[in-house]
Amino acid sequence: MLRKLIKYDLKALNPILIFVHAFLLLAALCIRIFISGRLFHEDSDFSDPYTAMAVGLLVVLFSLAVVLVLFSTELLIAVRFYKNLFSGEGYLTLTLPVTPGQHLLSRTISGTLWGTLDMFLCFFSVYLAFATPYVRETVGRELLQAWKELLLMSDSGLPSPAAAVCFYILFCITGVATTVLTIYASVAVGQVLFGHRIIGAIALFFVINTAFSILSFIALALTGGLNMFFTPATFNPAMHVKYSLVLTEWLSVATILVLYLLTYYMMKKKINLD
Amino acid sequence: MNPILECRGLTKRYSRTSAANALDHLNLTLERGQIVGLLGPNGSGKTTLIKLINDLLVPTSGTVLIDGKQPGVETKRCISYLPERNCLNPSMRVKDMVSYYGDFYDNFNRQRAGQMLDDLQIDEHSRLKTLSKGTTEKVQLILVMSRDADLYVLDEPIGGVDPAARDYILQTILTNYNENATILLSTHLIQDIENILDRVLFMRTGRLVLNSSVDEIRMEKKKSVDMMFREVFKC
Repeated sequence: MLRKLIKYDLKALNPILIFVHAFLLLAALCIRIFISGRLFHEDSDFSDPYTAMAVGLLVVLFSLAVVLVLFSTELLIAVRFYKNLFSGEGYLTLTLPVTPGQHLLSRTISGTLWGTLDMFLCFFSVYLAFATPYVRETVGRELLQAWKELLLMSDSGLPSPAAAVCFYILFCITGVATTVLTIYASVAVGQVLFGHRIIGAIALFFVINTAFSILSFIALALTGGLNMFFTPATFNPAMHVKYSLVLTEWLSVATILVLYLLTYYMMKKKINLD
Repeated sequence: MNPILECRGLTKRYSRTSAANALDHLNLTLERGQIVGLLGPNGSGKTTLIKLINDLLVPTSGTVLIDGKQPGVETKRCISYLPERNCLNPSMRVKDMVSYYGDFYDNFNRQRAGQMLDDLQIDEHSRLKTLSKGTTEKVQLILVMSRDADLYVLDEPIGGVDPAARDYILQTILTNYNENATILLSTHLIQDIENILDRVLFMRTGRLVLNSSVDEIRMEKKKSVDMMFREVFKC
């Protein structure tokens, strides 16, 4: 049953999300062929105000497009969850012979899958749009070096660069899962507010996010993570990044568990369709 | 054999501040093989009872048992539920909905669904959002009645369709359930359905005020169900 639920959930999400991401990749390809490919080369004069303005505008507009795609993915995941379980469709979905746990797990898997794919495709579209051979030679080399120094640091405690890459992939996936479950928990708790279900869910989304940020800051302060800032002589950016990432990862895992249980409880005990 | 539906002291209160219970200590037992009309004015608790049977609400107190089991995955296998409002994803095609039902319900009969769609000349390739409200309701009913369920719960199955279609729907209901199954049918259109009913349940303010066979009403009280309803619920 879980496989069937995931299949139908992806079937519902796929058409619009494939279209949106295909559009982004197509836009990135056009930018690469018609604009960045012609602007970013050895002979480019970035001190020329027109060239600088064109590059600036291009970066801003494409960043906006990427943000819009990221936002629309989250929005579609939220709308699908709400409509399929808490609106009229819920009368069918919730009377299928499956448990609330299977409903929630299937949606968590499909939402996280699309969220992760969305992140990967957005990164790829930026690469596609701007990573011309000239950019790869200049900025890319510097970025790669910085990434190696910062993220593949020798004192990271990870046994190998491959383990470090695995950690960062896991970090991205848990980040996406946290966002997806924040959406689900907001919708599930918000549905008890009759007449204000959508506004309630949006408000709850921001409340949960703010609470998570405050909690992260408190955890960082309590575990000594902020001490580095007060002792600049010994401040090590690589250590700070590593410390923050590991702490955020643990907090994300804890948040996922709490939000999953909260959403499950609401679906099991507090369902009340219009 | 367990009764198909049993309610013991079933109570539902939506919030602590509510003036009254939506369902108030309801005791009810329904045996198999009958068509039961669930009747009552608005706010009498019909939909609340239907939601509790379908595990769409959690009771405040008391129990509801379907074939001796509490609402859950097992009971959802044997209940075929037609809600009052449209529950189909409008972006899906009719044939996708048939596959959807076939995928999730072991007792769904695709052939029967196809036959009924043909009878009503509903194109399986149409998207639901392109169909009229009445046709969408027919599709919903076809999907629900194409299951070999033990209990059919139909909430206002003829409410939104024209009188001509009502006859077809009632015929569909009558011809597509087996003798051991029970149909619990809620509607305000009593005159249209009273000829197919075996038993009626009258509800008022969350309580059962009458649980009687249609024959008893006709033979002993010399009244039609509609007349009886008007008498009991006279304003």
